[in-house]
This record gives sequence, C-alpha cells and structure tokens, in this order.
Amino acid sequence: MIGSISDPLALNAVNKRYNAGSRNEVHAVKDVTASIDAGEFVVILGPSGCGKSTLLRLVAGLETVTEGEIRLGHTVLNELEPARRDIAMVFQNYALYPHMSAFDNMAYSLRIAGLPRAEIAARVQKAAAALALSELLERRPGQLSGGQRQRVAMGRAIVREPRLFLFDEPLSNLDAKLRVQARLEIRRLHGQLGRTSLFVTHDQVEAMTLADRIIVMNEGRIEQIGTPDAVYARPATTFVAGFIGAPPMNLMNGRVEGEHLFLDGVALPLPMRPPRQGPIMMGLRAEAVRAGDTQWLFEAELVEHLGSQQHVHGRLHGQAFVISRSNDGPLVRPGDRLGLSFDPQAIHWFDAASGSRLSG
Amino acid sequence: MVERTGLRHALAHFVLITGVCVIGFPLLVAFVASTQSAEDIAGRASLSLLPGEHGLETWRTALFGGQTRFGSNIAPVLPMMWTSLISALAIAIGKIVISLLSAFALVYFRFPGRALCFWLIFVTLMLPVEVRILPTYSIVSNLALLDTWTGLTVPLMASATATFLFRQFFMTIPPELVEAARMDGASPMRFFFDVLVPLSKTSIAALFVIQFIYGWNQYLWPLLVTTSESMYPIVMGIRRMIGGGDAANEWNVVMAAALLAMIPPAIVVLGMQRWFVKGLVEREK
Repeated sequence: MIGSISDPLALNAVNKRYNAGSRNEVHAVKDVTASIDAGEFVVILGPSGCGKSTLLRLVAGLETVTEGEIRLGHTVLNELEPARRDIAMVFQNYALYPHMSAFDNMAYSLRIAGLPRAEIAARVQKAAAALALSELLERRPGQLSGGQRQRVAMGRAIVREPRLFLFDEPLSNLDAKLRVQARLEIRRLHGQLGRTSLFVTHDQVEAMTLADRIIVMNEGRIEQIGTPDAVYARPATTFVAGFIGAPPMNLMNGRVEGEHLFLDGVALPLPMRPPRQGPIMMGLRAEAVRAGDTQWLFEAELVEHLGSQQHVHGRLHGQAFVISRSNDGPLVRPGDRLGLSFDPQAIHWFDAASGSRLSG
Repeated sequence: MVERTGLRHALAHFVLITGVCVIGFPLLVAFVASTQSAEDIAGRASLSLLPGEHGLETWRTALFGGQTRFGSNIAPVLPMMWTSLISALAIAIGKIVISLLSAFALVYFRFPGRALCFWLIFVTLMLPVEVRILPTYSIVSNLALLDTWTGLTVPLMASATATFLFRQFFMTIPPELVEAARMDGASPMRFFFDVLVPLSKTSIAALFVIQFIYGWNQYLWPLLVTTSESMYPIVMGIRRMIGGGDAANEWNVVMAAALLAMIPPAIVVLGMQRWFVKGLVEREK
C-alpha cells in the first residue's frame, strides 16, 4: 500500500452530552482518556448502552465532542468534517448503497476524491482480490450473501487507505460460523495493512481474539485498558471481572476477620493473608477451583454440558457460584455437595463499596 | 375447491368485463360519433353504433382547424395539445424537483423552523387550488404573468402531497447510508444525486404519471390566466367547441378532439405502467 503511514490516536478527557444543559441531559461518554499506538488494534468492549458506539462515532465525526480532544497523529479531529479526517468506518449493517454494484460501492469515495479512473479500478481490484470478491464486483448488495456484503463493506474501507479504521460491531449480523471466519480475516488484513484500528463489540470472544489491547467500558466510563490477558487475569473492577470470562468470575460479598472470610455467617479459612479487614468482595474464576477436602462447601444445582467441559451452577454458603470442570473427571450431579480448593493466587480482592481491585 | 375457484374466476371475470364495458363503451361512442357527419348525429334520434365515412375529414378538421360545412370556425387542436403537453410536463417535472428538494431539506437538515415548515406544507395539503385561486390569480396578474408559460405552470408546481410522499420515503432510508456517504466524503448535494434520487426512481415514476395527468387535466386555472387562443390547453379548447345558445354543436369534431386529448395521458400511463405499479407497491427492504 502507498505510504503505509500509521498514526497514534489520542483521546483526551472526551465527553459527550446529549441535550446538554437541559433536564433530560444524557451523559453518554464520560471523561474518556486513552492513547492508542500507531498500528495497534484496539477493541472497545462493553454491554449495550455503555457508550462504546458513541465513542466510535465521536472519532468518526458523526457526532460532535462536547468536551475534550481527539487527536490522530498531529491532527486535532474535533472540528474536522468526517470526510476530512481520513478515517474509514465499517458499519454494523454495512450501509452499502443498495443501487450500486459492489465495485461502485467500493469506488464511491475514490470517485468523490477525484482519483483517476485507472487508479480507482486498480485499488478496487486489489482490495477485491484480498477479500475474495473479484468475481462478485458486478453484483448489487441485494444479490450478495451476508458474509459477502460484510466483505464489500470492509473493501469499501480498505480502498481508501485511511489513517485509521473504525469497526462498529461489523460481525454481529453474521452467523456463528461466518463470524469466526470474518474474525480471522480482519486479523489477517490488519496484519497486512498495519493501520491503527478501533473495533467496537459487545462480544468478549471477539475482543479477546482480535485485540492487541481491550478498552472495557461501562456506563460511559472506561473501566480498564489492557491486553486481553491482563484484562482476564487482573480485572481492575468487579464490572470487568463479571463481564469477561465464560462463565463470568464468581463474586462473593463477605467480611474478613483475621484470616477468615465470613460468608452467610460461616467462617471460612483463607489460604493467604487478606489485604484488609471488614467488608470485602472476593472473586474466584470458575475454572480456578478444584474439588478438595475443605470447608468451602459448594452445593450443585444445575449442570451444563459443553462438550469438553461442564459448568456446574450452584451455591457456596448462600452465594451463587459456578464451577467449570473438565469432562473426564468424576461427574457432578444436582444436589451433590463438594468442598472446593484453590490457589492463593487465584483470589481476586475488590473493595466492597467501589468495586475496584485491591490486591496487586 | 376447484368449483369454488371456478366460481371465483367467473365472478372476477364478470366484474372486470363489466368494468371494461362501462369504461370502454363511451370511448366507442365517441369514436363512432367522430366518424359520422354532424347532420347524422344531430338528425337521428339515436346514434348509430356503426362507424360512418366522414372520419378522416373530421379528424383533419379537429387537428388542424378550419371551416366546416356549417360555416363554424373550428380552432385547431394540435397547438392546444402542444400547450397542454408543455404545461403538463412542466408541472409534473417541476413538482417532482421541488418536492424532492424540500423533502430532502426536511428530512436531512436541522434548521430553525423546520417543524414549522413541515406543518405549513402539511396544512396546504388541505387547500386545493380552487380555494386559493383568487389570491393566486391576483399575484400572477400583478406580476404580469397572465398568458405566459410561467403563469400557467408555476402556481401549480408546489405540491404538498409529493413532498410528503418523498419525506416518508426518505425516512425509511437507513440513517447509516447518510453516515456512510459522509465518511466517503460526499457533500449533501452529492448524496442527494448519487444516492437519494436513484433510490427514489420508482416513486418518481409513479408521481410523474399522477402529476402529468393532473397537469394535463387542469381546466379552471388556465381558464383564468389565459386570454389568448395560443395559450389555451386542450381541455379548455374542447369546452370552447361546445357552443352555447343557438349555435349548432359539431359533435363529431368535439368527439375527435376529446379522443385526441386522451392520447398523451394514455401513452404516459401505458409507457410507465411497469414503473408506476412498482412505485406504488414496492417497499424496498
């Protein structure tokens, strides 16, 4: 690609308020600060309504920033028209022009930019080849399958050779099998093009597999920024702990007294020194616990079989708890009681009130 | 089941055939009358349903004008058809262009008074030409536009119906399409011509047919604003052929002119039928 310049993206205390000042003000994005390195693939992950799409649209220029600054390379984007930002976006429903062929859809932005015909054709052919669309260029979106439309939408972004790619849940309209393929495709293309990319999704598997780093958002705020491993292994808040991982991390509300955790009035011995006394939130991953001869008594209520694994839902001293076991061990049935053991490092401590991480 | 559908078919055919007869018979009568001489029509108690021998002569008189054997002067219909065609085309195209643009403004732009504009347009839906005809006439006459193409067509161009129709259609277009066009660098007018207009093609065709016929059938307005014979549309011309008082009516010529007046709208409807039906029925995705 011509001049494969990549630029870092900086978000500086970005805020978005709708109906600012009025009674029904909505504060959709709150003080978002993040810096994304040149060529990095960053996934914004969060539940629906967390402001992740709004954030993406602010970067695209489809919404105006209320406060704060967005900078791509040395350019401040805030006041620039979307077209002048040199950013391409892949939309959730692809937003292809229904009356244009795949070729015209991909060529449209280049035509507007006034590129010579030969160069437009060359760029579209090249993108089409990379996306296995060469045979389909004459077809209209209505004559393409969902996966093909998604690839045309990708092609439309690629031909522009933009400084930044934005993806707004581009895989959510595909069926499960195509989604896996498309995910690999996006990762492969990113490897080839090396452009800074921002990808919005609510699907943690997409986030974990695609991202160099993940930004987890909730209620307009960033909860955590980190590599997929870091976000999984050291969630910064109970929200992240509960959002990432399948099944999500078990969180138990209890009290620490001495070397014991009190759950539902029962004193349970801790294998480590707790970081503080008093009310606390303790987290344990379902896959980090084993059956063992301890006082941590788990009562199974429901078993889900997932092929190689089984998830056992039940209660641990009155609190909802899930354990994940491989299928080759002894089977657990509803009503079974078993003691649980776990490594001291497997414990995550969170502040009971704020939900933020306590231990290192 | 077979019997029932058989019965249904018969019923459907009966209704349709009756309809065709009701519509077709007057046309036949008009055609037959246009081929007979004026005396034949006036003299007989009832009209013969068999074509006479005077067809060619009558149609020539109707088209190019001239004196009949009774000495009445017939104005030529051909220039009137030309007037009608031009004004109907101008009205139809003008209406579509203005409605497309105003619907575009209403749907895609936020400007002060947008809601007010919409409601003003919407309210005029309830006001047919006849209600505002006097003030409109006074404006046109003050602007010295009587007996001009402008005066004949422009006051009929604004169309609340078409604006409303396009507005509804634009609102079904996914907003992401606008956003994609913005990201692609399309200016608003570029988006309008490259995306909105092509997507509205079938609606435009349907409206064109409706508005062309509306323009062609205008009677009251041309009656007010035209005084010179060269600006008379055909609908007025036919009316003027039917004399009042003691002048004898040349019914054969009137019928020929009436049939001539039907031809252009018929061509438009038949020619655009496919698009027309698509535009009325289709709701794309």
